[in-house]
Amino acid sequence: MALKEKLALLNLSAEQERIAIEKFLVTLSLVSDEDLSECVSFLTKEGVAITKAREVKVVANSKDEIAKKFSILGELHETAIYKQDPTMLNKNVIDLYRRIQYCRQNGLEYKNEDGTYKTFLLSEAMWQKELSNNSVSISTDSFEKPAGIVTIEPSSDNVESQIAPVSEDNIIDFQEYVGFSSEPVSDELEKETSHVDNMIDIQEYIKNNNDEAELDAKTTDFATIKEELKAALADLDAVKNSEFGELSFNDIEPETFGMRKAI
Amino acid sequence: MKFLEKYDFNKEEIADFLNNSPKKLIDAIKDNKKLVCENIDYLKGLGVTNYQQIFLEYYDMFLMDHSNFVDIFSKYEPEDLIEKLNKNIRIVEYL
Repeated sequence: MALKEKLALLNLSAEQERIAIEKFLVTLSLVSDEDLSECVSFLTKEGVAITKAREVKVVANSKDEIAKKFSILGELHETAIYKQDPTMLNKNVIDLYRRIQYCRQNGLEYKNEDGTYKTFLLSEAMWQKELSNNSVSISTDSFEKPAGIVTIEPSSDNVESQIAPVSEDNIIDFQEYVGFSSEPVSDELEKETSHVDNMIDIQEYIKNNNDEAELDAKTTDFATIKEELKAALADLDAVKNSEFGELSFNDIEPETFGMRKAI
Repeated sequence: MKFLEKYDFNKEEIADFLNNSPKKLIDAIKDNKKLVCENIDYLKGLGVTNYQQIFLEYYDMFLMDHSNFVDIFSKYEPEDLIEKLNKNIRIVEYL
């Protein structure tokens, strides 16, 4: 396909953009005709149009990569971000997913009133700045994993390896990752789970007994406490008036005040 | 992408760039390191102070043939160009 034909596949909106494209033609030379056609038809199907010259680098992503990104943000119903700015398709989708999820969980506004996405979602630096402005800290534990994503050791050289295609196979992997399985319960497993019932009984017993003890402590008659306090004060007076004369506080046994002795 | 460090890009900026750019373009930049350096050097030599910002936004442009790259910027008065680029890097698209 000639460059002219490749360009015709895009929807560069104005003459100005058609001039600007000269600076960004390299991307088109890196992409095969087939990949470009596939990519552009997928984007068109999803309602994303490349109208600006600077957006052309998006087609350097394969159709499969773009589909994966749509599928992941689709879980949050937030693919509109790609329509608003197609260059977002170059961004790491896991980071985007986490930022949006974090905003939702912590009540942070991530869209303006007109529905456009706030810029702090776009880069790590802006995101960190926004978090510090809002005095909230990042805890990756609070992020939910998108289905089909298995996190492995992150590596800047191998970012793509963090993303597994969302397919039935991967969902099974993810289930194994989080520790549940759709396999039928084996006899061995049944034996194991029988102990759990006993454990629950024991835990229930401990809990009930703790509750009783707590209740006892709470219902102790206030008058008893008052009497104990009086007795302690009388002991103190006795010590004061004893033949030993004036004593310092350190000489008085801590038990006098119901305190435990430091070892 | 270690070569970017000599142009005062910090490690976080490089990591962020690698994490948020298409692999095909990253590979092309790695394979054409010499050309990319030549183009960055030209902007730096011209006195453009925010060349890192320009690179991080328009990295694909730095894969242009060096003479074509020079032609884009040499049409303008350097002082005026630097001032305008400092105000808004988006003008790069329409030079």
